Amino acid sequence: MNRAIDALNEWMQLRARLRDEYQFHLDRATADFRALGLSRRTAKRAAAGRFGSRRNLKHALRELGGDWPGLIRLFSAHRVHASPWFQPIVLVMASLFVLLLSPAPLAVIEGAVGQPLGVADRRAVFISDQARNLSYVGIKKADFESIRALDSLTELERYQSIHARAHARKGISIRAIEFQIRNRTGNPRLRAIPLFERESIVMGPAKAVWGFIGFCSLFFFATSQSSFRWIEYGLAAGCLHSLASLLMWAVVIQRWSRVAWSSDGTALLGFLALSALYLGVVALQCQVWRIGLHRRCPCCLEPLLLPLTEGSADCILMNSATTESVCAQGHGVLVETRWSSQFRPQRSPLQGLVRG
Amino acid sequence: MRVGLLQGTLDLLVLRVLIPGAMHGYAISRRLADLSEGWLSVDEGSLYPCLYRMEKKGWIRSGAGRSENNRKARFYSLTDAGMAQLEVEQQGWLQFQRVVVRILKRA
Repeated sequence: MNRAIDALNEWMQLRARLRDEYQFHLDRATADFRALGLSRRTAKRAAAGRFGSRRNLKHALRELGGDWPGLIRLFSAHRVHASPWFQPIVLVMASLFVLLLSPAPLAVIEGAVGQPLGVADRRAVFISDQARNLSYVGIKKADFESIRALDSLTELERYQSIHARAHARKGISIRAIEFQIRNRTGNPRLRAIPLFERESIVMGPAKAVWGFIGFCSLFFFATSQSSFRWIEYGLAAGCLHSLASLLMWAVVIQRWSRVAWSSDGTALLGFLALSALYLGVVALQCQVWRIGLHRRCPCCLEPLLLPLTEGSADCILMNSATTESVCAQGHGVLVETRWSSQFRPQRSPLQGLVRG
Repeated sequence: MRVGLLQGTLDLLVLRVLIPGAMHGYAISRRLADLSEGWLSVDEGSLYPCLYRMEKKGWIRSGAGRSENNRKARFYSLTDAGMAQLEVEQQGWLQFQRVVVRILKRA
């Protein structure tokens, strides 16, 4: 992490420094051309022409150590550029998936009480005792009487003679209610089940991912002097990746919430395991993007081709194997040594990773 | 006819140009253009990444200063390591040149 922050810091310093230098250089060149009698506009154009192409600069910057920040900047572009249909299709599919997987929190309660809930029920809290076989067996009269005095509940009444139904005061969470009723009655099996709609998809992490990607997009946009193409690609890719993460998270949470856990402890373990799975998938996704970008030309974004391996896989000290790939347009060369984490002497750089 | 710069020769030229004293990037590029009398085609923009790279290698050092028209600029000067590197690169280049000339004459 520290290395990443240092690299970003160094990259930002380099950019700032080069920006100042370029500005100084162009101003001086413009002044010189103006001294020769050119108009301001022509002088500027002449100075920019002599200065050289921005593409070359980008390439040079990448060589200087723009490693991962440079790749992040390019990552949004190359996917959209490579396949104009890929992003919209995935966006639509992801939206449909999220809709199809939209939670049905009431179904659980309806299953417990054995009948569809009425409209009036749908803003209430259902309180019942959960048996070891996970069925709701109702609440004892003594427990019912003892929770009457709770401030967090209003309109407490019997429901189908055995359960209890109440309304929660505004701002009181279900967890807080459950904690209170368990404390008051001393019965750890009592459950408070909301009958009102709630977010059963945990949106927090997805919002965090969305915010992070949005921030990164704007951050890199603000510091990159790029054109609208960047913001267009950046936003499209940001939407895609956020939605992909959201979709994955939704699947994980739906899976988790529909399993009848034998205890809170196992539920927590299940939640943690699925969260780990989610994070693992996201990490894998990032790795694939990174490798995919690493093996694309920084100028034209085309895949680097024609891998040529030299050296020996056995003689790792004196003549270690090195794979060199080139851009078909002649822009870039990628050299990977045996020590590189992505070194695959037997494989084409793009095999199985990205579509060309 | 202008000719493109051979890969790797920019370092050598910049190191050589810096021998008289510290210069800012624009002055280096102008000096290169003047000395080559317009024959070398160098993108001036590629000079700065090259300067940065050489500074990271310790061949040159940079410091803030004021240009002739009193603008803030970064001035580059040669270090001892840069001097040694210049010697190495110069020898390599002269050797290369001799080999090419020999081939052209004898082939």
